[in-house]
Amino acid sequence: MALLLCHSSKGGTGNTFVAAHLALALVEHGADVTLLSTAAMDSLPLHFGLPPSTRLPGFNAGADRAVVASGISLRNDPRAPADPDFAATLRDLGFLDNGDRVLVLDVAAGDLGLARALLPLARAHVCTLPAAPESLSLLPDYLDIERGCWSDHSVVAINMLDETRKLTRHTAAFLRELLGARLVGRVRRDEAVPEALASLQYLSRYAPASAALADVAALARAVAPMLERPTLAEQIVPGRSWIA
Amino acid sequence: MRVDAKALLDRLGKSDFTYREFADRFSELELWPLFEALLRDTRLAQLEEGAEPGHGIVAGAVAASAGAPGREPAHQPFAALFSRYEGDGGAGSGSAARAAEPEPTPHELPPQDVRMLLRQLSELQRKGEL
Ligand SMILES: Nc1ncnc2c1ncn2[C@@H]1O[C@H](COP(=O)(O)OP(=O)(O)OP(=O)(O)O)[C@@H](O)[C@H]1O
Ligand SMILES: [Mg+2]
Repeated sequence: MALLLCHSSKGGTGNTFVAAHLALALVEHGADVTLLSTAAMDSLPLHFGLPPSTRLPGFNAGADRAVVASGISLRNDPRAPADPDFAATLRDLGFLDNGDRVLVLDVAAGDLGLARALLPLARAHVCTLPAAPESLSLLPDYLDIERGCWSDHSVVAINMLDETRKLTRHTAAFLRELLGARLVGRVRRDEAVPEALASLQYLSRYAPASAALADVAALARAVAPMLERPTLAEQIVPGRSWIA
Repeated sequence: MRVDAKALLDRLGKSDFTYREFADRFSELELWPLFEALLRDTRLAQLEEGAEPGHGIVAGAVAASAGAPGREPAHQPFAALFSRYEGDGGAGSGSAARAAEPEPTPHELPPQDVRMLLRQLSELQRKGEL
């Protein structure tokens, strides 16, 4: 199973939105997808048109408790950030063995420790950032090997892009220069995104012409090929796991 | 999105509504002091060295996690970007003054650097990456 880690340096950037739509795109490409959120307060169900009363099962819960939306098995494990063995558990359960399955992980920005632990196991890590000063100012720390969450497999997606705003435009251009090929997509700010949530509908159904929907699909096309590559752990010790 | 705008776009099947008229006006691009501060941060050097995801960073990551010394402090990342700040009196000399102003005005690019940047931007736009 390929692990796709979604984690941002900053909260509220659209990490969950992007994780949900990457999962949807991967399912459309024929993958067997599990989408796991590790947030204690989880808004994931909303992105699948599910009401707020929806309780997602834990990662290990049996198939009888599964919540499946658009073919994606949705799960929530709020204990993961405090569990030092979570990454090892993933491996032990065989979730990271080769296969056609994809595990998309939505890790909240504050759970940096968990994201760092998962990074070596991830085939791809997508950091969703608005083109805003805070995103820029956090970038050096986020790239710092000792403190941040950045590897060979990390890429950035700009979200909530509004090119009618001068500073946003300049910041996006600057990020483009800075990140080069590591910037794999940009998703425009689009009111249809929160409106779809409020309508308890999929974005694709609520606003098929949504700019953000088209953008996030393009982002998925850029990210999907990354899942074919070996993880950082596999590169360092070929055929052996990162976690001894 | 307003309901009428949404209905119209849906009817047109237009999935690529974009603000092209704004995206074109990059001639007014300014380099803000925050940008300058970032270009002086050596930790961003790895972005330049491993521009392509999947290449170049692994060795650095392993070396650093094994306790190898960091990059030489003399290393100046993003020489091309950085050069736009040259002739500005050095790092932060203007920043303090600007910070005291009620509304800090960002730098204007020197003309030839604007042209260089515009060339890059139009190239990106040509490739559909903008
Ligand atoms: N491209 C976009 N255009 C407009 N609104 C957006 C866009 N992307 C996300 N949003 C909205 O921004 C809000 C935050 O998004 P989301 O919950 O995905 O962020 P997050 O990074 O997961 O936040 P948290 O740190 O709380 O987990 C939501 O209301 C979402 O609908
Ligand atoms: Mg979230």
